[in-house]
Amino acid sequence: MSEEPLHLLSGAYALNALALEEREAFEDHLSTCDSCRAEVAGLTTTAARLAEPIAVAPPARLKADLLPRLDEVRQLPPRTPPLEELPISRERRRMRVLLAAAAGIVLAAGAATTWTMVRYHDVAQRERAITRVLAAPDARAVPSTTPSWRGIARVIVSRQRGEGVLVAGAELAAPPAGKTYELWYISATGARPAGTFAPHARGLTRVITGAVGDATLVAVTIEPTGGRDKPSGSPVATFPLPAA
Amino acid sequence: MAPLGDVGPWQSRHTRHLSAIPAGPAVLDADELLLRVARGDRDAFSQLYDLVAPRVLGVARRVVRDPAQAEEVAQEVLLEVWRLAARFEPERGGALTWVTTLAHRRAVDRVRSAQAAADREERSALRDHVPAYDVVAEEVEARVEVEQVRRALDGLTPLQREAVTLAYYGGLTYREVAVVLDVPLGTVKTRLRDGLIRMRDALGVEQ
Repeated sequence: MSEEPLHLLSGAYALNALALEEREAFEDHLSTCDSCRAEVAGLTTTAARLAEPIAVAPPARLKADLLPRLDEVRQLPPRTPPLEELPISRERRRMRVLLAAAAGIVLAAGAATTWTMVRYHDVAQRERAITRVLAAPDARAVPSTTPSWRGIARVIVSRQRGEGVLVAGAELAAPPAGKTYELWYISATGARPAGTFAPHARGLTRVITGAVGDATLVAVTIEPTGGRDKPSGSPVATFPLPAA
Repeated sequence: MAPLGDVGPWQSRHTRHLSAIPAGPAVLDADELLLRVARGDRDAFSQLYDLVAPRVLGVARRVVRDPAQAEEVAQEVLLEVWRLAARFEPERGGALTWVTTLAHRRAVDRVRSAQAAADREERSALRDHVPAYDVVAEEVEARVEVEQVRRALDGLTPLQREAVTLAYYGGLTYREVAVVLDVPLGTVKTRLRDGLIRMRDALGVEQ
């Protein structure tokens, strides 16, 4: 309770009544303030009960639509404490700064997208990969040469690290039902599958699977759910990579 | 601090919600179900869905308003529950709180992301099918629990109640609440906190 003014935000925080920037600042404060954390826990439980009077029976269709989609969502593994805790949280802070900087430079898509993207990080491993790419001295952000994707998506690539990251805003249209977007590293020797992705309402930051190698292009195609080994059609978006 | 993909800290288990389990074969509570979901158990997810979906959709609908968008948010939240199940820590709080908090956060994030607002409106306008709700305002939670919450809200001062209601059900930030109620920021901050503390005590939420 050392910082009285911040402490007073516990109610607003529990009610999700803080703007994103304030929410982050308060969460930073929470990590150092045991009494705030305890208070927030009780108030969060209290706030959640406000949902009871407004609960509604969902249409049967909602569940029927949802269950098949589980196949498309990879479940995160549990956290593995304590050893990594310090480095991760350090890295997370660093990552926040880096991503914020990168987002500022890279995405002209506006403040909302930038913030949601910055906040979309919950996998320490992925964070580290993204941090590696963004922190690389030779990291370059390339827009798509496809008009409909320009301004919505960027690929950030580091030849030194041999890795790339796809960043896309919330505006990205969903692929048709039963289909997914698939990434490819394209080089003179052909196309290497580099992972599938789906648009996300809060924007997405996705490590491109595999090494950049001698690829000159990142391409996106639409493939059946689960992805393919070879692209089945022409790309819906391409990102020409900077020369090695 | 928990990563931002999570929904913040939560502490007390509140088994009182178990009375909300619908009649039927469901015998596991939400916490146990979520632990099974974390191991990829689809049946457990289906049962958990039955427990939490009414609140998830209720919150999404109240905050987001547009039925089609509310359903999108609810779907997104429920998939998130599947995805993040292994990150749930039962000793830190109840599964119902976790899911409900996630739902509320996603719903307010949705209404506040002004960036995509124009796109969404366009999409909504283009949508030929706006799903109707099977049930509009059915009492899907146990009546006793709902009454308890209503009484706790009634026990607040008018300003506390208005502030809490605008923030939670309206999805407003406390700064917006201050403007709506035409009171200083500091007053809203303290009313939200005092109000929730009073509700917490009235509801007997463990600390």
